[in-house]
Amino acid sequence: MSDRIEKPPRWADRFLGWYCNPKLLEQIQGDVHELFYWRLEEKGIKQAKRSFAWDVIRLFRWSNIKRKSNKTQNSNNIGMFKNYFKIGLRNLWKQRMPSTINMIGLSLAVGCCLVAFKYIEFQLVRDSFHENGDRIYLGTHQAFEENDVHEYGYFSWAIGDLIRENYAGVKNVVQYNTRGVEVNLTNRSFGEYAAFTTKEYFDVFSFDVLYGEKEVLAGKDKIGLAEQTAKRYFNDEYPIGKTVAITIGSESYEFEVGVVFEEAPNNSSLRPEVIIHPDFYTVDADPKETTANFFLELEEGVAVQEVLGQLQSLVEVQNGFNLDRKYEAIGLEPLTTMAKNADRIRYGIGSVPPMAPMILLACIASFMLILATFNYINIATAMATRRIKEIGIRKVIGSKRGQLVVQFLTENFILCALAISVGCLLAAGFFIPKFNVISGSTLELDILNHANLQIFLLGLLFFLTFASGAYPAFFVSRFKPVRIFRGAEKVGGKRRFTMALLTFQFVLAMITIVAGVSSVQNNNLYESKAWGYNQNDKLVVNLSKENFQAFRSEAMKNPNVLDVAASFNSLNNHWDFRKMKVGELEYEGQYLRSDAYYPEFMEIPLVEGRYFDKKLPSDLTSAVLVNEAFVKAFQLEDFVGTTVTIDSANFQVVGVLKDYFYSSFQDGIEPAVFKAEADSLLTTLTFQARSGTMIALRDELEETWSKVDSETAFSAHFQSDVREREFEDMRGLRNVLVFTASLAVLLSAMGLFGLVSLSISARFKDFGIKKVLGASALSLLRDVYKRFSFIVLFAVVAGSLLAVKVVSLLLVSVYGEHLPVDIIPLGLASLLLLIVAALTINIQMRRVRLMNPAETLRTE
Amino acid sequence: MKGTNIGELEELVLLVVGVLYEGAYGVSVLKEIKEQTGREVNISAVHAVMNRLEEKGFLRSEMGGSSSTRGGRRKRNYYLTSSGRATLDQVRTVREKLYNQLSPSGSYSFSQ
Repeated sequence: MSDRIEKPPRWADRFLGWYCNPKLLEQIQGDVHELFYWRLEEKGIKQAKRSFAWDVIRLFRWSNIKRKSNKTQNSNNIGMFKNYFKIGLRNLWKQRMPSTINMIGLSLAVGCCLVAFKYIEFQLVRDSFHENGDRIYLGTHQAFEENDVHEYGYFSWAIGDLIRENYAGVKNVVQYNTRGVEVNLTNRSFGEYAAFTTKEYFDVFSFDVLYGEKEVLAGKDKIGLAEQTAKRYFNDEYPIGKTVAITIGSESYEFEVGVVFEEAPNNSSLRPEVIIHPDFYTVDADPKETTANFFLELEEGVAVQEVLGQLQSLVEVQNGFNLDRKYEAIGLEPLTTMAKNADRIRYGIGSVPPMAPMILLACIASFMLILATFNYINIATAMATRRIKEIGIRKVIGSKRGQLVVQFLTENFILCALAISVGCLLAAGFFIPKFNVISGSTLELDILNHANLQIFLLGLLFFLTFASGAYPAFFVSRFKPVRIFRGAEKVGGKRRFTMALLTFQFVLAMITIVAGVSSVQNNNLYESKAWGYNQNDKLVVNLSKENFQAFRSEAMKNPNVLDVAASFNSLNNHWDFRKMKVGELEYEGQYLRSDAYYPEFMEIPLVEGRYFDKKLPSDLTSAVLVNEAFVKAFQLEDFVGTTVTIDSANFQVVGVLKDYFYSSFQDGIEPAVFKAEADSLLTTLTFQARSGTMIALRDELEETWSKVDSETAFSAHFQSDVREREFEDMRGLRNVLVFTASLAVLLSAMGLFGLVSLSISARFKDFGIKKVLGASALSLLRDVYKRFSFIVLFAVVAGSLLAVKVVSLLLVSVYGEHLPVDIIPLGLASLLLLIVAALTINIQMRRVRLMNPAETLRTE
Repeated sequence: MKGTNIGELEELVLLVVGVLYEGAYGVSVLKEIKEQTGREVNISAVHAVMNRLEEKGFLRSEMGGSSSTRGGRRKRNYYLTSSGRATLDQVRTVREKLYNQLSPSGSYSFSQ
């Protein structure tokens, strides 16, 4: 027998020691040990160990666990925090000026962040509001096309119907298709994009029905309308039961309004205004050959993989149809990621949000946040150094460093909370409405019922509190009381960190100003840029082939019409891209069909050759005009005798036109071909109005129109309007950038102001004495001046260098071809920054100049 | 008097503590219960019950001596208080009163 003393399992004993309330530990541990040795004799070592462990585990209960239950301690903590808050508020109030500067800066930054957050969230989080959203999938299939397997977001109609009928786990199937229709009321007509979908639409998706029963959509003769659409049609009349005629394709049908539903939120990919029974989409077509988007709602608790596995059997069915389209596999794309993956899923629903504006906004918001935070760090540090005596005394009395840090962070927290509240007000009342005007979006700040936003605000609060408050708090709490009272702590020292932050602020400001100035420059450039043709005083009227001649001859009687030309697609309004071939080379380019006169009428200058000749019948069949970009693209030495092949027809080039912009400036100029056609094929008339009568002419022609064609609506636009949208976008961007630049300048100026003011205040007594002895204000402030002007100058130089790089990148992505970032924007920005800095410092100088030394020396 | 009501295990522990008189602490109570009734009770249950009884005022405790098997740790000794004793008496009276009212004849269907 070994004389080894058996011991209880160590881990269990330690565990007991760890959790057990120290007051109870001795007796409990004694008991379990005694039991162990007793069992050791009775039942053997194994059993004893096991029982010991079991006892320890059983003893792990609330009454035995160590915990802090001292109630007096708790209330004391609350008292401390109350104290922190009280002192914090008093300090903020005592130093009103810097506190206000900080708060304004922070709240402006918060406002910017909120706009950016709302916009980005709105763009990224799509289709997330459906109750059953996690069970809804877009049906997709993979097919081999263009030498590769791609995913397509639709099924052939027959396949979709099969899923509806045969597959377990699929609760509902909604098919969804859109096409343009014309809705005709008694006296008006509207062009709409209608959705052709099944009655399950409202069961599957969470769109609220306002009037009517959603079941009525099961019938073919009923349609659904969105609320705003219904209002547009019937004003305030009750819409249910009203009759409308809808022209789908070439057929016209009578429908009764059965349902009016609430408009989908903006971040919905499905936003139909008119809902029609799907049979009207296919009419009599073969269901195998027509296609539709199919949404599948799975049964609750059914795994996607399971359903997906079953659905694969449809691949064979589809391929059994013997169509061109062979499926490789069937897929299911969750509703919520459908829009995000729109690039991958061809012909699906939804679209990928544009990244450029999101990145720009995020950059602006973080710029502002950085500026404001740096301001805060600087000013808070400077402010805290003025409280150095307080810190010393607190420490002597027994304050721990941690407590001082908490005190400073609490003050910071109060300020940040205030700033965030003000920032929310700013955003709701000013930033977001303005931004909506600029960007044409409909953002709203709904703090109370927007969980993500609440989380964001909370996160922002803590981020700001720590990002801006940590450095000042740790910096000032580090001072040693002995040194403070001996006067050895150099508070007014150089503080390189503060200066570096200030420099960085000015660099950022410099970059934003350059961006703002450049965008103004480029906008002006673009707005005054020649379009390559004469867009002035031209009115474009859309017609149909039937009323073309009648309207034309009527309109020509109008004395305000100077000239007219006909075309199939008009410049900058309808695009038609075709593959063009010269010899072996092939390009895709713009294909414009018009009468022979149109290019000349639009005043597109001729570079070589001739315009179309109306008298030559061959010009109508085999001649084309090309632009300079065409010549360049196909590397033509001489246009004469060049044959262009478009859609397997051959054309002779008879002339070269000067380049003109047929789409936006950003897109640049690509090859374009003008083809003359007989009038019988044309559907658009462009009128040259007598100068100054354009608007009158439009109204007169509308009257003329009603005589010729009372059925369809008059549709016309000014040629000069076709790029209005593009200019609007550019102006919007310019406004955003200019606004950002002004904010950045304001913030850095405030930062500078605060710092200069604090550094002057700290030495006010010095100044007083010097002034009594006859020093001038300038000589007093010489070193203050020197230090800050060095920073500003350095920032101007460094900022210029950086701005050239950064702003060029921005301009390329926004404007395409742009003016270089040269001396003009850089010079203007530098000048602006220097003036603002000089003004800021001089306001402070005034304080010193006007100071009465007697006053300053008397106090304290 | 709801406050003096005690559960079955509580009653058992209370009795055992009374029986052991001077030597009642966790392990001895546990062993005594096992010997006298054959019931295996976990030590944690014994502790919990004794704490509860002490809170109710039926037991009082003080730290006692140590022994080598406990690794030198002291034990907490428990004693029956007068109110504990009164409760036990009361429980017993109620029980006996009821027991005596049982019909002596075989009118119960014991066979089932």
